[in-house]
Amino acid sequence: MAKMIHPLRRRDRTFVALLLLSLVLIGLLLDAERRAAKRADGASWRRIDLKALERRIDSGQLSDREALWFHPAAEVSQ
Amino acid sequence: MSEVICELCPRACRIPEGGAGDCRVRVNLGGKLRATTYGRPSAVHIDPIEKKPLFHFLPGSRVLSVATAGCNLHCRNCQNWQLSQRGGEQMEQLYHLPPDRLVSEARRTRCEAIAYTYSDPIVFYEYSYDSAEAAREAGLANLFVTAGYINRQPLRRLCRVLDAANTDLKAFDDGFYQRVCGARLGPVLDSLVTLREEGVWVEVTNLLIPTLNDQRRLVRKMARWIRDQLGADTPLHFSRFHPQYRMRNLPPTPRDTLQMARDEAREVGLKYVYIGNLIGDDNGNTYCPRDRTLLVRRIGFRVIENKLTEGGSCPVCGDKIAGVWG
Repeated sequence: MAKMIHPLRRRDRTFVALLLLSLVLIGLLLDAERRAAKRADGASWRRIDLKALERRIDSGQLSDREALWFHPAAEVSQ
Repeated sequence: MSEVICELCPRACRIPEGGAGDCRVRVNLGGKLRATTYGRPSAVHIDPIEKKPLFHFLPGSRVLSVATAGCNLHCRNCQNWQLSQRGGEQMEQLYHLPPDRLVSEARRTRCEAIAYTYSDPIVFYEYSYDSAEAAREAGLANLFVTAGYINRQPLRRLCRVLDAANTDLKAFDDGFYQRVCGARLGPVLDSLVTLREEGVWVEVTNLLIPTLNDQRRLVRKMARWIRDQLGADTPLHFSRFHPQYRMRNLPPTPRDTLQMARDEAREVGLKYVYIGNLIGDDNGNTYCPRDRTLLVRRIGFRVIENKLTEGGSCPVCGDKIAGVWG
């Protein structure tokens, strides 16, 4: 019995590896789609290079003009 | 932590101090949201208005196109991703062009309008609004080229200073919006209706991507919606997809698909249907819906001949052709 399984394992090793890789890729794809859907629904924000931004604002290359259409999150929580 | 909530678009980003909204350019600094690209565009060009595309609004005119970094959509096929999928701090080119200087530049270059375009002008809302106000005072028209992903209240305010908009209706399918753009369909449809209600001249563009949104039933559904909600005289532009950015695995849209879409939309009752990004004899021509007189002949973005009367009517039957003609 062990002799029968051994060659089978060797022969199918590549196949099993590819299968696992495919499953991982499918999982990553589904996760990316879930994240995209979550972003579309709101509550999303991004980390940025804040130092680079502040440097550019200080040098006048970017602006620190106050935006319209926002409110402190605390107003909602209360 | 002084978190803020941005109410500009349907994402309603909840942004902690030092963070940016999903669009990358609206940043929470010290508990206040900052429009970091206000007056700092990264793209400024002179274009023919047909490039927007707007075919029923001052045909043949020159427009000054302006855009800053950032976008609130993340389409996998974006053609301006170097601009739209970056924040201001990542841009190599930043012009210092506050609203008054932008308007002066438009006048100096003999443009008849300013187009807020390329990325999505929604994310540089304050800059577009102030520029549009100044442009209107100077006798220039204001054009918005947008995906329409904005909340109703800010859009209504913006409509006060807008003259025309080309809105990209990416697919008549919410799943497509979620998968390909990271957004939703509903708010885009709301925006189209709002623009129309507020008296802004509206044209719609639909980029047909093979296998993703080019099904006959989707085209028909979209055309019906446009006819019923915006009116049969709303120009619809079917645009050809070219593989780029994160969608290089699909081929360009076949000519037959574009022609099928145009036939479907016409059959549903839309009067002005065009094909873009494809060289062809009559893809961009405007015909009289009543007697099929060739009214405006275009090759690519160039107007070769314009037979409309001064009031924008067909010279043969006298029917008024929908649009803003001068």
